[in-house]
Amino acid sequence: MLNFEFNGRRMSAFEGDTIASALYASGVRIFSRSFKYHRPRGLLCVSGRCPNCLMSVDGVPNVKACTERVRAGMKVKSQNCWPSLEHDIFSVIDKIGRFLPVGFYYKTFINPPIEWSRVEWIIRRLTGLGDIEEEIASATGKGPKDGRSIHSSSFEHLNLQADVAVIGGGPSGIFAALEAGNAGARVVLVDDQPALGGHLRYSGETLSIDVATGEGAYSGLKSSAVASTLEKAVRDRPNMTVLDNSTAFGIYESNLIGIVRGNSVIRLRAEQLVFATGAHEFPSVFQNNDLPEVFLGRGIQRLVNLYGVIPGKRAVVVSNNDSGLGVARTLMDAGVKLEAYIDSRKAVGAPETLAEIEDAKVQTFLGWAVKEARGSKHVSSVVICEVDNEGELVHGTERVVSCDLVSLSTGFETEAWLLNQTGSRTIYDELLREFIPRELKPTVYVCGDLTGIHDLNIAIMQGKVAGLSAAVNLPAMERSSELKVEYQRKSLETYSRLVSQYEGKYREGMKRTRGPDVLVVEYPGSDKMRKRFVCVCEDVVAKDISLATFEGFDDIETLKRYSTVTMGPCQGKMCSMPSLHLCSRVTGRSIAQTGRTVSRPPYVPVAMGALAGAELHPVKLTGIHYKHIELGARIMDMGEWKRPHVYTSVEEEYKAVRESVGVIDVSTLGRLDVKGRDAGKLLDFVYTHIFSTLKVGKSRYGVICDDAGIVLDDGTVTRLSETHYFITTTTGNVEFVEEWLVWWATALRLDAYITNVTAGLGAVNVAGPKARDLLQKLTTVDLSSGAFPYMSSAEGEVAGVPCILLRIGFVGETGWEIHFPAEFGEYFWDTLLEAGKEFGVKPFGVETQRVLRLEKKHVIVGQDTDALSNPFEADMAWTVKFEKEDFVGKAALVAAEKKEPERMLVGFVMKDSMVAHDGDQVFSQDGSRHVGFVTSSKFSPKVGRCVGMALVTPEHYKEGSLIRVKSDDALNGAEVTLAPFYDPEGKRLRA
Amino acid sequence: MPSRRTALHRRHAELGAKLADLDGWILPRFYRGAEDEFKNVLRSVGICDISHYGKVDVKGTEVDKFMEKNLSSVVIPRKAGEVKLSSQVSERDVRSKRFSLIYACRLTKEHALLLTQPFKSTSALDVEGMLKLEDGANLTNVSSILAGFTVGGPSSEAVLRKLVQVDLSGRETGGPFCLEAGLAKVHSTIVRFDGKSSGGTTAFDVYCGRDYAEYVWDAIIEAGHEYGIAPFGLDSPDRLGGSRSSG
Repeated sequence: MLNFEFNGRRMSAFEGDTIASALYASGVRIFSRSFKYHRPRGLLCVSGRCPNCLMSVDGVPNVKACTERVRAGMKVKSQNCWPSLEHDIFSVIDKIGRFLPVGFYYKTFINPPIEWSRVEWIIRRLTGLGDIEEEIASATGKGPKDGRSIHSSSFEHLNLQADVAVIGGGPSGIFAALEAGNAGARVVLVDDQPALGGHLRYSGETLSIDVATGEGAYSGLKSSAVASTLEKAVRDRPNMTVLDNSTAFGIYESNLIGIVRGNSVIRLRAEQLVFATGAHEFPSVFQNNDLPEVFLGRGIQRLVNLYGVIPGKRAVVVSNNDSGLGVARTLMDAGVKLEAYIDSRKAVGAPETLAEIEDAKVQTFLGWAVKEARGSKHVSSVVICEVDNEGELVHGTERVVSCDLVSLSTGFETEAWLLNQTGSRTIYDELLREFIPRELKPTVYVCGDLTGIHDLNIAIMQGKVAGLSAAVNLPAMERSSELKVEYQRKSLETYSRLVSQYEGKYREGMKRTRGPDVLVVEYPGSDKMRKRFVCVCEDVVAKDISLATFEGFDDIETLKRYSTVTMGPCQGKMCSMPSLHLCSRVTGRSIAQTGRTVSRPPYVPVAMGALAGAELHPVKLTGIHYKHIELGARIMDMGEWKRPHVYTSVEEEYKAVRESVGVIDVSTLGRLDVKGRDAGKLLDFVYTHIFSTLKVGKSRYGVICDDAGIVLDDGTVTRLSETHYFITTTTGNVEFVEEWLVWWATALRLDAYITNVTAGLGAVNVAGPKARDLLQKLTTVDLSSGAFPYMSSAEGEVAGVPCILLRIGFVGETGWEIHFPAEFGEYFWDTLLEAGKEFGVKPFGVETQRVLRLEKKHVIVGQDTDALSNPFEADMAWTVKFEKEDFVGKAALVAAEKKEPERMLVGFVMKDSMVAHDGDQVFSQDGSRHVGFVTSSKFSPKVGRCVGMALVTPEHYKEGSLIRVKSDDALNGAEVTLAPFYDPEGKRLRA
Repeated sequence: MPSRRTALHRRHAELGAKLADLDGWILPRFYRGAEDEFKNVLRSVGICDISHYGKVDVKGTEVDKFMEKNLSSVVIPRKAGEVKLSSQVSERDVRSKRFSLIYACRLTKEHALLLTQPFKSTSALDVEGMLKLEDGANLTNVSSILAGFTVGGPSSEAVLRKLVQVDLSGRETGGPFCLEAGLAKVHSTIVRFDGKSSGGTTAFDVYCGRDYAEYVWDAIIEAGHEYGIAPFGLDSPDRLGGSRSSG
């Protein structure tokens, strides 16, 4: 026995029990309170399709108690009621239902507008579907990991591929899977139940199977035993995967199937799809049809045959098809006293079963239907009436039958919603009174109850046809031997012929027994007394549908949106057909003309966490990352990279670089290796500068523009040999620049090969007046200014590591950017710091680098430029070489050069001690006109005040121009500076 | 020259790996014991850092011609997805003596990836004698750029299925195959080995950018948690995949 808690009470269950079966066996009859009226609701479908048993389980709301297995220690709570399920104070709403008609929310609390804000919280409190509890993860025993949210570790995604996906594990689905598997296909079978077999598991019948199907051996056996045998046959096949407890919730492009299984979402891609999704029962519409202990027939069979629960003592079976006879027999076999069998038909398809019922002294009413269920919180009797040939109840024939259990076998709806998502159509079959598949898309096959035919022999043969058709139409199967192909073709012919024969007989039988349509029972004054529920999710009653239709919402799609019918947790499984019948009746249109609403994923509710899956946020680390941690650096996110923001303080690090030597990890810089006979030509075309004339061993700054002349990226280009260039890009843009270069190399048919070498190379910038002294200790490369001038490069070893050295300086000091194989990262860093001890070397972070580069007015593309900046506005006209034949953006830049720029990038120094921030707005000196905005701003130790750059109108592009920066709601004075704030002649860079 | 460290060096140290210098690389020989690790791989799934292997890109419109001319004894995979083993590659093909074993993986018509024994680079962007450039194709050393892991064992496919959307079953090819795919949202090259080339079990080599290595390693470990994934050192793959072993 398993113990669990229900609303604070200790309950027990057998192994294999669901929460619902355990609670029902313990005497619980009310499982929930309805969404709007807070009416008591009991079990209805017992298959996870209706909303009547939604509960909070271990803090997770809206769990279907009828399918959730009991686990020891689980805590189950009811939802949407107060103070208890039995006595819900909000059920008073049911008494004032007449004041809450359809469209209530659209008609009320509109004027004055503030009215809604006053009542919204009350309405939200009174209605709803449970609450999300904060500690879900810990309650489920899947606690959080360090630094991750409490929900993150519970969800995951899984990817599967199959030749044939079979959706539905009933008899037809099983035979489809077996047939496809036998033909050599790789099959995945998806079923939402814990075991395969569909209704064979719980119908309790003794099977009668035609020998011609090839499965005659199963005849005379109990259905549950056959289900187990078939399941074993499927699971034993090596080329089959069974996904039980898994619900397909959506079909997407290219046969991608979304499947939810617990907290996981499975993405299954299949070449061929077999839909064996079956059909489900739904309740007919009569007064008080939502009372607890009014069940769907198959729900009763599940309770009895799957869980051994006796659902009542005195039952009434209401039916309009032969499945009601099966339920009646199930109840009698279980020892339940059958008070009456009521069937709206005058004749049944299984007269021998009816005779058995009559022999048991059960009253049978053929040509009768139920008008009303009576009781308050439990059903106590039903009122039945005779039905005329038009399906109307005959006034004056009422009879009351006392009972404590009502079984409804009042119709099937094919589960075609997923099928519809493939683009395949369904049509309404007047004889079968169901929507059946037509015009199937290629790679789509159907079988079983989904076809509207409820017969085991036909289901078996349809399954075989579907499975074999799917397999033989696989592209990979074309390689099969001719003999095998011929055998499969003949088998298909035989199967299809049998299906045709059986189906003909089935339809003949349907014609013989067909009765009037009594899905929605009309009776004079019926709505005045008691509600007739169409939608148990949203508490939509028959009167609401009629009223909405009269108000003009007579199209099934607008009716859905206005009344919310089919929009609740069941997504139309219980209410689609009844609402359709009602709409049809009110509008006078046929069912076929009325049509069904469009099906969209998800077919069943899916937790947002399951859709999101596990947290997967890629992170990039440099080869020196852990050294920064050891040095106590504060780490910042820069895109996917982790970078040291600052180690000690900006002041200390700044001082080291300006006065001695500093080192910074710049491994995040984008690096591209460009090789080929046409490498120079490619770079000339993509960059605005010229690189084909660059001498080997030299570096040059370059800017990339788009066709409109807008700056996309910048960096340095170094020529390593005649056919080999080494490029640096901004940190976040390397993938783009790589694609851009590959695109143009391909488009221009150039012999140039681009490799992104960023991940393979570590990089360190060693800068400061003592940088040369430090590095010269570690390398034999001559670093003297004469031998290694500014903007030149060399390849050689530093500390025994093969390196590329670039003499460039982002921070405005003598310095080298050194690139080396990333696997030496920590060694290289340690060696530099050790060798630099005598010079007082300090590592510096991104924040210090930003101050240093701003003092030099070095531009950061993306920060000091935006999506409208061209090189002229960015004050980089010198990088554009119009003497080149052509390059990307040339035409736009030629035009831009001829006209006055709209903005110019300038430097500025704040007056006094005022501070400016990135993004601050810039105004004219008198404060009357907005003239631009600040792109970068920092306190400059060199200047002793805040300095920055700003994009301003061109009249301010002159030395000494006065502007005002609006910061902290004050207009602070600043003066424009065109030259760098630090070392304007660049002497220190070149030293 | 100092020893090299893979991007996962810190992870190995945290896991208590017994580290050793192999071919100039500091690598884990084993963590808790090679025998147990090997058994875990054969029973379920394990993961091993193989970032030290040599990796060479051949790209261009004339990949076949280039390889025929410059790597004449390499068995060339002609179709995208094919993987071919060349166990005896002559010194004439490549001047490096270490370049003696090649798995050639054809990723696309214009791109092949050669997986080789570890070799030593003598410049930041090249291995001596490796940088070849001709019309129509070129050869680039990407050993430092790509980190690599072997995910091996009967559950290895199930683990990777959580992170990769494409089909890893290899049913179409019926032998070793390669593909490029997003693995935990990171672009990766995945090579599947079965049978003799992976010690009789299924094994996947996963290659991703070195900068993503820790993230991808962690993602695989997380995905493999339910299967009891455990890291294994290079003492195990000597038996797991003899043909791909170090040295």
